[in-house]
Amino acid sequence: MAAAASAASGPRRGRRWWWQNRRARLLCMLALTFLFFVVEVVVSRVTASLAMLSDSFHMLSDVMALVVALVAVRFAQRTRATKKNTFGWVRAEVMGALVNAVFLTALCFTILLEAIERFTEPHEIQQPLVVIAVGVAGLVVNLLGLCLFNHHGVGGHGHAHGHGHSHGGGRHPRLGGGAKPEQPPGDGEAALHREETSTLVENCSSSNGVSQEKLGDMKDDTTDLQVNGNAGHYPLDVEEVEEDSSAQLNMRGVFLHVFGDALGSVIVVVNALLFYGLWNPCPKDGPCINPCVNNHCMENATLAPTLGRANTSEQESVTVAGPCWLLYLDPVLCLIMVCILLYTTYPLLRESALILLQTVPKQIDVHSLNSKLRTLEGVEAVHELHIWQLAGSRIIGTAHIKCPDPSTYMMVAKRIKEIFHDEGIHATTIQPEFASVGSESGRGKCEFPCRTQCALKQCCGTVEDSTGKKTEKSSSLSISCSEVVIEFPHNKTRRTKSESVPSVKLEANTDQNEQFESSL
Amino acid sequence: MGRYSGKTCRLIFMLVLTAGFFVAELVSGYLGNSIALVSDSFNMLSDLISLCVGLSTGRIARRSRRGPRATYGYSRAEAVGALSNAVFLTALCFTISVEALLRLARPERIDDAELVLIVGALGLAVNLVGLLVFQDWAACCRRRPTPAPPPAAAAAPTGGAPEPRDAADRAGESPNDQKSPEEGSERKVEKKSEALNIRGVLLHVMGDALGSVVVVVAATIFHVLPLGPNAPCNWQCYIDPSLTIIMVVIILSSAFPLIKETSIILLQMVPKGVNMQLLTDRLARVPGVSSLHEVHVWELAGGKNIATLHVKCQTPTDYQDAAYKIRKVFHEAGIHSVTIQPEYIDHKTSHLLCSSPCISKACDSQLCCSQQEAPLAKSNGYTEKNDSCLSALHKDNGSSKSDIEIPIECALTENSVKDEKNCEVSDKSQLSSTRF
Repeated sequence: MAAAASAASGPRRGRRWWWQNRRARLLCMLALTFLFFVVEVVVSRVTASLAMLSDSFHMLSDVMALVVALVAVRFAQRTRATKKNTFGWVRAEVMGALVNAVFLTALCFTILLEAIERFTEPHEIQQPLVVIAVGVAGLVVNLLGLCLFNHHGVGGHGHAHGHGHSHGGGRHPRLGGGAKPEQPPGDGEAALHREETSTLVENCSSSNGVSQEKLGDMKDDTTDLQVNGNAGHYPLDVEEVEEDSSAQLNMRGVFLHVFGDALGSVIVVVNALLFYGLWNPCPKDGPCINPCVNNHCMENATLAPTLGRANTSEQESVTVAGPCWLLYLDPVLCLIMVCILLYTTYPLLRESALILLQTVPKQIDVHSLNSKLRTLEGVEAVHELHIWQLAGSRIIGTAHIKCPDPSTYMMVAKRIKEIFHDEGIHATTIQPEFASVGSESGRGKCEFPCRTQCALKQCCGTVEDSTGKKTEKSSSLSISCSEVVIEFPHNKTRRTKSESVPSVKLEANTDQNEQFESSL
Repeated sequence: MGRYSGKTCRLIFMLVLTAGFFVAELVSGYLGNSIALVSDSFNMLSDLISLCVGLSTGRIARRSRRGPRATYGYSRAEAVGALSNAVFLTALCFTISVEALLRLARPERIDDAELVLIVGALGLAVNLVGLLVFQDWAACCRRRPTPAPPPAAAAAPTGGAPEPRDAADRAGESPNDQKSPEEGSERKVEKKSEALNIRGVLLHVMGDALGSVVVVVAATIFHVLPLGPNAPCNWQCYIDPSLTIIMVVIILSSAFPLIKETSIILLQMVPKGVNMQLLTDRLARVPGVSSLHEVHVWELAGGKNIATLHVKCQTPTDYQDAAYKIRKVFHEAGIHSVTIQPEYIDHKTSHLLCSSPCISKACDSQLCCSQQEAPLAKSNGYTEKNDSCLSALHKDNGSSKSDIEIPIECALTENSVKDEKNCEVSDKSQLSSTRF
């Protein structure tokens, strides 16, 4: 295990270079794209090509997408809690991904409209050679960008997700090993942890001898889990070093933009090549029939007498402009490109939206988690179980656990945390609630809701019981929240469920104006 | 949902009207060679899309309840929908401004001014109807009849200003009166989340209306002062694109505040009405609480604020006493869903600031907020004795509120002294602090 950790950690310098690489890549691509945009604008002015000018603005949209991604990356590096954001700004990358995905969808929409416009009014390409040249240059730039971001684009599907935590300790080998560059003193770590559990044991086992074996089991398990970790100090670039799945989402957004642009360049080049090769243009002088373009203006008027004359005498010298289907190639290709882009953007959009909606991550089954928690000995009920993903692999959980008394809770607390840990949820807030004596029916009710009139302002203040396992705080008026004050006797006697609790004292709340009433 | 049953017909009507008009505008825009009309028709289409997005997210948010896939329900869908609409609008503004710039570079004339004028005016009428429809819809939420005007609810904040003491006094009223605060607060909560969603759609409609105005103005000028068929473009040709650019600026200036507001929700930021400094100070003053850490406050959606925190107490009795008071502090700040994790200190671990949240330190990278700080040479020196004062410690120049150590008994004037000392976190004690 120690070997695995050392092998996975690698040189610290390598990690830092890689992190810088993400931002550096974005900056590099940004500079390149902007430069190319300027070049295209200049060339379009020189050649007076409107099509190229409008194409250059696609590059500008690329620049905007890169700016959004950069801003998100800058924000997301601040993972510390601040006054404005108690979670830090890790989520910024997910939001950047969503913004880029929506932006790309909007651009697809406008491209679609342009294509429809081209169907009704087909344009000829005026100077195909110049267009080919600039198109190829743009394609090169875009291919370079694709290579820069390719790592994220291809492997972006749920990479850092679903790592079930086996007790073998092989969890997150890349993250676990890579983020802790220093060699873990594996034995020392395990020893420390054993010391921790033994502390627990000596304080709790005296109160309840039942759990001794449990703790013994836990010791071994957690020792295994510890080995991959690191007891040493963590350098400040821990967060920066990891390529979290949120960062991948962000890069995926950029990749899709660049990919769309590359497709656009391909279409431009193909179209221009075909045009150059196959199009039979109208010569500048001499009569010319252009059956494809219906200019709703003068040409019809002038063509008719021309046609009349042509039919009689000058049949051979009238040129007919080249195959008309060439003019429709551009919009058709654009339509195909739009379909491809939408198809590839939709998963990104969906994924980032689901994270922002605070849904349960894909790999976690709330039902099984709930049942695991409830089958723990000492746990009477579980409610207000919330699991959501902050960003990347940071999954947060909260739960209210109902136990008969505090000492039972102390015994199971570690098990509860372990269950969460096994699912990959490491940031948990567990609120223990102790059942009021004699209220068997109140098992499912939360002991500490806010006042009744706040029920609708609570996160989940509805009456419905969706799963049947979690009972909600009812918004009806009949709730009476019992405040139970349990006094511990000075000698920590054993307290099991079967025992009566003679020393429990229930105090009425002094402030009668509050909604809470105490009951025995 | 039943609440909005009367409006569905209106919305469908709006959808059909907008769709039909989009087609009409598109055709006449091409016939009349007016870029403004064409872009206006695209605005109509984007209007349709934003309407669909807004409606569908609204329905998702209202209909779905908590389930195994989303433990908080989908009430945030409206914020996501509003953000999508705002970003969509921004992208459209970008493309419209690009086209306007191209037109400025190469001006073209409007050929069939009368047609464009007529269609533009009709489009403006449709947009105004749309604005009225949505204003009515939004206003209708406010005007839902309630049994008695709830004074408590009127004072009840949506963002979380401290609940006035009146609510506490009124809490002793008869049960009949308590229906109204619930409904009133429900109304406010609904209205706020509705507002975000509707604002996204309204923004599109407003942008649309402005576009129609530009079209009408440009077409009027061309109608009144017609250009000859072969005359070069004069100043008239520049009216259209320049007005379009002004319109883009106006739309963007109203889209960005919406983006900011949805970002506050989606990035889990502290909601607007909550002052973290004040809140943590008040929490620190609750008797029985030795220290707090991992204080997180965020807004779920529509005024529902949620908080979680870890408190360190000396004994379980302290915790029981403190729990209620902690909730009261949060309640006054407008945060009604609180989850408190108690942790108990004993002599070995009393000076700890952070306890190891997960079972092993290897998980640190996956915690919501890293517990690790740079190793600190000096100890904080305040801790071990029970009598001595623990002054308020802040990490990171006071920018982090996640860990605060507070005095047990001493004067809280030291809270105002923001010490930049960080706590010493020794590995050993950190590991051994995971007892509850």
